[in-house]
Amino acid sequence: MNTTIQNINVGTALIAIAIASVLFSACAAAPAQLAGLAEIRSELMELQTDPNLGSRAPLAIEEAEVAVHVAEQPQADARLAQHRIYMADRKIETARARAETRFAEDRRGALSEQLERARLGARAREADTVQVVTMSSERQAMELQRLIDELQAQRTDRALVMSLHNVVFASGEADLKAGDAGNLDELVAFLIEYPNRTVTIEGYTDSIGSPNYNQRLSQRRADSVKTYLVGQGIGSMRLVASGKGEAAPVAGNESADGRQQNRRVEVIIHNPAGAALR
Amino acid sequence: MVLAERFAEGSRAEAELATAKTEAAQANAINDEIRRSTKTLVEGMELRSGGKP
Repeated sequence: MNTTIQNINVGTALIAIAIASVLFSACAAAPAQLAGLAEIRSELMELQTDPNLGSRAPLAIEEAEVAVHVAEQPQADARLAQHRIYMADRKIETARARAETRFAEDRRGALSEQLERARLGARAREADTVQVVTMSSERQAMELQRLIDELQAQRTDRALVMSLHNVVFASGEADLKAGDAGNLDELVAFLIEYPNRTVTIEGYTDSIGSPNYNQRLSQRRADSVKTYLVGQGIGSMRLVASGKGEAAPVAGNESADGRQQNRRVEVIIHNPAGAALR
Repeated sequence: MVLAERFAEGSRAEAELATAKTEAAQANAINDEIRRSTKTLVEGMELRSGGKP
């Protein structure tokens, strides 16, 4: 008997515990569901009031609004209620993403305009630079031509060749006398202007005297010109003096006039490596 | 059956969200690229002009 009563009490207690558990679970689940609802409503409002996104993707936002409204309806089935909250949350996130896409697309017009302005600015700057370089090159070419004209030089592919026509040597002499500089001063000006050019100075004689004598004499004449140029500030490393003797006469040696023309110095102004004088 | 329907509905919503997020990311990436190009051009101009655009 006692055993039977004990069994009944135990069974009652178990039932009571089970009911209490169910009630406790229901009480615990209810606040969580409410918190979820409040959260999705808050998210939706945040999206709707966002100045950049609220007016974009209106259909998607409307769908989210409907989903939130459905989720807010009282629902006895806790799992269904949770599912509706979950669906509303997805709808809100989707609406947000769609609105962000529209916002980015709307911004693209202004960004593309900025890019186009930058491109035009860059092109204009580039054109200005090209124009400046072109003008500079043209100016340099004109200046070079003016100096070449002053030197009365002949152009070849690799150099300018000028004859120091005003530099006249007496027979058997190699010294430059005061006032004999002639167009050497134009040569100095040119070499100062174009410091990357080197020079070969070639001395020549007439045919009076032995070839050996004339060779030495022509070397001394070339050296005289080199000394003069160095004295004017041209670096000696840029200058090579070479005696050619009585070779390559430019006039007959029969007449005094012809022999005077042959007693000369020629200057070869070499183009810089890899460049040509234009 | 009900659970299967909810699962399917949830899957569709996830797919839709993934597509929307991908489109947003692409749209933003295009804008970022335009911004980078503009910045590069402007900086290039500033560099050539000694700091003045």
